[in-house]
Amino acid sequence: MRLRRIAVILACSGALCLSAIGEGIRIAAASNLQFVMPALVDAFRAEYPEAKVSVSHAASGNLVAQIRHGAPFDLLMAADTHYPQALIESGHAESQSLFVFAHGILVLWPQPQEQSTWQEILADSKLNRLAIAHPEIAPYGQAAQSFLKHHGLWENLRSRIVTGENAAQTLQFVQSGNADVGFVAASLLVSLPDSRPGIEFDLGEAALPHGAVRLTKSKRGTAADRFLTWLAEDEAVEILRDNGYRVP
Amino acid sequence: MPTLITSTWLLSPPLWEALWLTLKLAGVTTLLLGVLGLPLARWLNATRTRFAPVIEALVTLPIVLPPTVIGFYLLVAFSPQHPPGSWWVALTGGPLSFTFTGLVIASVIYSLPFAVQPFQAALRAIPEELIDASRASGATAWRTFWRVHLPLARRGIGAGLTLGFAHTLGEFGVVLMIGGSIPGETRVASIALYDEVQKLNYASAHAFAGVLLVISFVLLVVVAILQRRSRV
Repeated sequence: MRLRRIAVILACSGALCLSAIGEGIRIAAASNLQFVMPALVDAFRAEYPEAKVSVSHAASGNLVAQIRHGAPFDLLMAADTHYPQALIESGHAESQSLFVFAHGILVLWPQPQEQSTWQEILADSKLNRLAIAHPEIAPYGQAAQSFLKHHGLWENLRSRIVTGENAAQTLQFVQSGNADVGFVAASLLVSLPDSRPGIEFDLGEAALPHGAVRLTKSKRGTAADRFLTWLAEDEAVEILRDNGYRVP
Repeated sequence: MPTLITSTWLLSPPLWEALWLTLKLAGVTTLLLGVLGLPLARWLNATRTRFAPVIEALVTLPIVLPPTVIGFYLLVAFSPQHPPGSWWVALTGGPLSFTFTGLVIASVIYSLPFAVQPFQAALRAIPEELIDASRASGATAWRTFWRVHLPLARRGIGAGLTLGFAHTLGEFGVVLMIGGSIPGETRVASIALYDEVQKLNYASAHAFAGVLLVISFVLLVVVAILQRRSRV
């Protein structure tokens, strides 16, 4: 009797799980997208009320490893084009679906006084810790590193640089006071209650491309494609621009 | 084991550096666990204070707490902008976050129960009469500790130290949150492995994971041998 009840419960929960998998698109998204995704998903669902979307955030490298080992995602939205490209090469993503939906903006934050320039901030002898994202892993870190190298500051600052695993952790190091300033993502500053200003950098048209790609194993190809198409439309572009991204 | 030999060859110098740093961190932590943990274990066994359960629970907390909780609190505590982080800066001139010293403090907290619990069990197993006899013959508490407690509990103490060492090797979440992945300072083996996966360098990630697996396994075999012997 008891066994039967357990079996019924198990069957029901199994059915629930299946129905959850059966509906909606699953998006794997880079951690710097965590504040813009709810707005994007809401706007998308306002247009397509029948669509269900769930978003999982993690570091892009982890997402790639998970997708290669069968994670049930339909789309990958990364903070660069290198990770989607890697999935295309290993046959886990559709090459023709790859497109750059936005560009990130690198910000030196916080700016201690309104008039201080980034040169002054980085040359300050009181600068103890400069936080950047890990240059070999995180696109914002790579952008910060090449900016510092380009201006001949890398060697000089190197011993004072601490690296966060991703854009979000880098900001967290600065916000908690463990680093004095940091090169962070504009998209993360937008939702921060802390309203201290920062200095935005223009790194050129092609800097910090964010690529989205549809995954080969996707079982909801049509819905996923619809989301990708919508992502290039005016409404999505406006949301992205409001949230610290550049869309040319 | 040809796979292990080929895989160790694949380890690049930065990864060797990370492995060495991990062993150094585990070594220093284990030393401190012995120095702090043994008196603590002995005191916990002997004390009759009403607060003993509270203190025992505090020491045991790291077994239960997610490493992210410890990491988050330490990140806040280490911040040089307010105490206690600011006191440390005033005292030493540098902050604790993103430093080897900071990792040592974190590791001692994180691994404390893994050392103290075997210590407590080993010390508790010593017959009371032997301690009474030692004290009755005029030995001080300190001398009794060195001449009676330590020799009789040495296997349990060895197991506690080995577990503390092994647990520090396995540290990841705490270091991820307060370390900042600085080569030679805070980029320990588990973080270096994580970084390799992020870089999609699966070959060197495999090599590194293999080496860590073998080291951890050998350590646990040592613990098992020590514990079996202490049962006899």
